Amino acid sequence: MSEVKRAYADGGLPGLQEFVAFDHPHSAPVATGGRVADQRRLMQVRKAVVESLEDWPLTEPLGSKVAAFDLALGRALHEHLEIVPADAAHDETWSFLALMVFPDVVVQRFPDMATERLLGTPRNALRRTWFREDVLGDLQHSAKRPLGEDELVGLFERSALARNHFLVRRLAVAVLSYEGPARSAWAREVYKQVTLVTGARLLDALSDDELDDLIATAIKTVSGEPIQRAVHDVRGR
Amino acid sequence: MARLRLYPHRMAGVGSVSWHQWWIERGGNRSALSHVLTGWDYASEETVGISFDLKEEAVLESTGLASLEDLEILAVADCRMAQERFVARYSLSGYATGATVDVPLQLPRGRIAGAVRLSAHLVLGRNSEPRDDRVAYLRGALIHSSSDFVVQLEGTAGRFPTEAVAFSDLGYGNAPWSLACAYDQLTDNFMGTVRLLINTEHPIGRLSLDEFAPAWIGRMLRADLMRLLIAEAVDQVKTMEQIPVDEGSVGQVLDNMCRFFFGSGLKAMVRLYQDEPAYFERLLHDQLDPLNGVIL
Repeated sequence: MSEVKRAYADGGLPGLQEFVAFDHPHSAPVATGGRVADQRRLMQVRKAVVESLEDWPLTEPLGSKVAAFDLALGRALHEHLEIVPADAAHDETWSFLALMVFPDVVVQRFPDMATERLLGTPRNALRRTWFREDVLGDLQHSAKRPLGEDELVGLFERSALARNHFLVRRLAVAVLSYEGPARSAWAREVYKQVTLVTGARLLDALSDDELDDLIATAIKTVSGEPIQRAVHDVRGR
Repeated sequence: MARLRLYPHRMAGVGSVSWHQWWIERGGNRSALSHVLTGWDYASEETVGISFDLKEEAVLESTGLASLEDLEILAVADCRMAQERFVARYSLSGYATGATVDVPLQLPRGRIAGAVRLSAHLVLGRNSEPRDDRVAYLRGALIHSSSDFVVQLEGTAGRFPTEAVAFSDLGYGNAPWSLACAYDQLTDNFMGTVRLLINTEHPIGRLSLDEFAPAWIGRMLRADLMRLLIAEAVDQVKTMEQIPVDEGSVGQVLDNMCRFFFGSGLKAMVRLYQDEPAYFERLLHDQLDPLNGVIL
């Protein structure tokens, strides 16, 4: 990490591009994982992901475009890494990708270089976009106004909600359907209401219709207004 | 301190539901599920399960429910690393009171890693009209739950080869863990000749298998492990001028581990262990900090 920070201090984002590497003496594949990616494969992945981000050149700050950047980054990582959730579950995978293969992309997104963004924590700059793409990608890419950072954090960083992917998707559908003001604040309150329910009930066996009913009740509690339920069934994988 | 959880509805009374041991089924054979799942990798799809029986009258009386038909069993596998839960359902419609029933649960390939926390729950299977006497009426209402059972998928201490065993079976006394080394030379394969043994009869040993265990347990285990690995290697290292560099050999793995944790190779650490044991111990504490987080 200190090497990444030094490279950035010396040369900015272009300096980090020169820092990129596809191997490290302390790197090791996950012991129980699948086929190991060689350097050539990693170079191909980097090239493909960086090309996907050409609308956000390194020379320009992201500003208000962070949500769109994250969405594109998640899609590119998901498409080109071709890893299964079990591979993506390991902190070391993302530490390696963030520090060695994509340090410039990570720092472009998080210029403050917080440790949790560089290392393979759940909040890692790359990991969180991959995971969101894996669970919600189809919904996000077809939405007129995709979920923003606050709305996604509210879904994926509440452990009572996050591990029930069916619930996460139905909540996402509800938020994406909302056309009222202050959507993020509204979503936060809806998430809270649903989280309250999870203490006394297990929601894992509820059907999509039952989850929608539960969410509708939460919405009524928050706003007092009923919402038209989405028609499509998103349970199939 | 005991953790007390209050529910808005009545729960099944003590003794009305019996949860049996978790099991695993492989190749048509069923055996007790241990805390460390050996022979597993991402390509494995496993069938685990739990058996239960319940006393119908006792359940209905304590919960106020009219029929077992309203209830179902949910078996849950919660994987923190993969951030996903997997569930199997079993309806109690037609259940014969006192019968032992199996609830299988698939651990899907490619979707889990690290460890899974297994649990089983008796829940309400359908919505009904609310009542005044605190009888559960919402689908999913928790009526009774098993204890959690944690299964490590990849061993402990950075995927170190590990086995969970009862030390009384081995005559190993009351240690929380120990090391079994079967190598003759440092050129032997590490993964095939070294095992960390976790004592399932020791509370700290059992806790070390829990992914939610406090971090100091991992630090303490790591410090003991490094001490044992170095001690076991003393005789072999004395006879060698150079530590072997063959990929996956005992010498290479131990040398890498010593450099990673102490900044010095295996030869140097063996020398310290033998010639300057007090300094060795101080270095161990300095670098691995095994007592950090232990509250007296």
